[in-house]
Amino acid sequence: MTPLLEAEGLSKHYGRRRALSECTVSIPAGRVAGLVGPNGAGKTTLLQLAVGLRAPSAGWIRVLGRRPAEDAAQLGRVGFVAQETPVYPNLTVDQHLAMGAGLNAGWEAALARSRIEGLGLDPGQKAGSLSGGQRAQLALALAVSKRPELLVLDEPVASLDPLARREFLQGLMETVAEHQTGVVVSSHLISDLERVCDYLVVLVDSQVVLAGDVADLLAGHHMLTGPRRDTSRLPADQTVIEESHTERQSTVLVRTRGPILDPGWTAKPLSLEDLVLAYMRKGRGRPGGSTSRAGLEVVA
Amino acid sequence: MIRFAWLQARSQTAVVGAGLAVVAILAAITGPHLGHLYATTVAECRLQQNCVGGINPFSNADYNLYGILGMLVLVLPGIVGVFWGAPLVSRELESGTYRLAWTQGVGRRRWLASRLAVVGLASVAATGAMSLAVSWAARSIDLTKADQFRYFDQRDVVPVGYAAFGLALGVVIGLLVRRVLPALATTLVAFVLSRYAVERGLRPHLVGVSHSASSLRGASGLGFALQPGGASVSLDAPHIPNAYVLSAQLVDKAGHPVSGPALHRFLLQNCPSMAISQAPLGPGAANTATPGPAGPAVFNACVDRLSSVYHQSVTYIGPSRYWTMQWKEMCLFLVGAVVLAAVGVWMIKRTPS
Amino acid sequence: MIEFQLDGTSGVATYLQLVHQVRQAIRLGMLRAGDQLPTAQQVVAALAINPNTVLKAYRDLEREGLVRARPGRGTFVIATLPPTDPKAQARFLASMVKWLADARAAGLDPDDIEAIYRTAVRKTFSEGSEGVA
Repeated sequence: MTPLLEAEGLSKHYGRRRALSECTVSIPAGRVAGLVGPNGAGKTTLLQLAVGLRAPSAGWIRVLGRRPAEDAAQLGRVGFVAQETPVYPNLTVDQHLAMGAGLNAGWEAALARSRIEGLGLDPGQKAGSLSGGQRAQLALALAVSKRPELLVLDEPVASLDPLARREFLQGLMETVAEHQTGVVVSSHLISDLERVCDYLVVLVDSQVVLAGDVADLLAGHHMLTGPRRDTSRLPADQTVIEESHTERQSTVLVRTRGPILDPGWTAKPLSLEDLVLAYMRKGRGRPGGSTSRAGLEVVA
Repeated sequence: MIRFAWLQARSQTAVVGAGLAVVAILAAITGPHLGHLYATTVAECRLQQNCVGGINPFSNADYNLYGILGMLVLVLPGIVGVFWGAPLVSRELESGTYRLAWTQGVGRRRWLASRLAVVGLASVAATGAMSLAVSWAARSIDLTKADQFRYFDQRDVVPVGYAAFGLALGVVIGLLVRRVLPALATTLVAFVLSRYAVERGLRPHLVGVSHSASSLRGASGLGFALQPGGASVSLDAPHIPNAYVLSAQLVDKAGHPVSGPALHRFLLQNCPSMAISQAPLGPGAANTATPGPAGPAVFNACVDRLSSVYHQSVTYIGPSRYWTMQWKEMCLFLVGAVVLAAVGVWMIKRTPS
Repeated sequence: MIEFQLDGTSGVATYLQLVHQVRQAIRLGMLRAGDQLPTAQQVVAALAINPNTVLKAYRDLEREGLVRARPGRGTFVIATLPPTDPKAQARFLASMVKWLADARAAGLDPDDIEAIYRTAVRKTFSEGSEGVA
């Protein structure tokens, strides 16, 4: 099956500023993929490259096997909800749907209408007077009603209250359940994504530091504590991601494919959030330059 | 796509539509009345060839009204460019809605081309209609004044070319500047400069010019002046009905323009009793001497002597060339509009980078 | 129809929680043979989780022989789980009480006992049985 999104050596810079550096990633089909990273890591840039709003400076990116926005058919396959969910403030909800119908070949008017009604939105209300949550839902309805194969969402719930956030994710997951749509959604809050994502890409400082199926990532990492020891003596197939030591105790996060056989270690529960945070800290603390290449971890 | 383009240009369309309606109504009310006035007075006396002086049956109110309506036709293309063209793309870029508009199922180029076509046709139609209404209703006044080139850019077909050009110019500037207010200002300046450049630099060359010789006797505004460079003659260009006078200069029998010093010598020699021959020369000298202490007889004698050697050579564009010039200037601006529109459609693929 | 609850803080994988809740419901008689489980869409609409999680849970239950998926119709319960034998329960309760008394006499407090209990449960019931020694 064609991957949802593939990129190799993808770089983007605006003048002097590097937004993405040599990103290589491949998100398999049928996933709900989360793109996580601190603000300014490059998430928005990566997503805008994926929908063709910007062009790469180097490398390439393919979405559903094709170049982003290369023709009207490709635009129809990918639904996009931009950051802050832009809408036309002076147009009503109904007029937005009319726009969707006029600009999209695969538009399903019945689907759009039922979503709007289900949300309790007044079709005659101007979009500028909608609440943040309602605007996000309108933007999602616009993206979904053209029946895309992939939904790309850039921090859609960042400025929503917890209830609106939950409702948005419910609406999104219903679409995935009903139409088997692929999703790539970005956030700087891992807790939003933990419920819904089964694939994760972590971006720190314009680079991909971690990518893989959530189940594989969790199975391949262990948080271990034990008596204080020198971590350079660990077996070769165990990579230390993060370590901390007190006088008598060592705590390490290791990545490994094999079992942990050393009886001196005690395993502690590892949440996805802990894992991502460790990689984000690791990405930040690293000196710049070619040594950063070692940070490209892809757990297949 | 088309309906949506309309939706977004709603408020501008309403304003222009209202303006157009007002103009149409005014033209419909006053036009026939003016035509009747013209037919019964001016046309009649011209037929009988007994028009006395500048026959003028129209009131000040009529003149003022058509001055204003003409101004409206003059500024409408600029308004179209600034308020319809400049925000077309720049507002999407500034407000971020381009992220919504350019990820629908229509490519950017087609999106822009459709909107340009819709708004372009609308602006051209509105401007054409307004120009048509005013030109038709003001015909009587224009005929009486016999000065059709004076209102060249607010009559007939050229405003249509200006409107299309202004729109395309606004769109391209909006693409470059990417913010609405700066784009509005820049478009206004660029539009005015373009119109001025064409009017001064290109318009006189659009059609063939004619020449005529005009005697100095009876020339209007003839006077002698004292310039820092010497004595000279100043006079108005002759009024050729419905023609566009480009230049008028003093030439000798062979048709060569007179140089300042040569004229000065001639006047000193042939009009000695004019006050000018006794006045000191050089900077700061008084100018425009009237028939001073010498009186009108001396003045007329000097004019006689002058006109036996020199005459006025007038370069002008004849009345029959009016419509050719209209069509050519309109086509010039239309071609400019098409080129700019093509540039815009090419550019939008790379905006933002 | 069963209504699922999610405990986000327990550290237990979502799909395991779903499996557990279905098993519990069957054991307690709240779900009987022939009852339909909620569709993936219904679960997802209520909980905002990934539909694949629901499908994975249902697949696990099907592998255990508790439910069967009928294409186009839904997923239905096909078996029952016998409630635990009350005599066995009483036996284990008695031995546990004795063990607790011994531990307390040895000086362990409730927190120590809790830690021992959790480690023992993890060792015995953890999924990847080649886990930490």
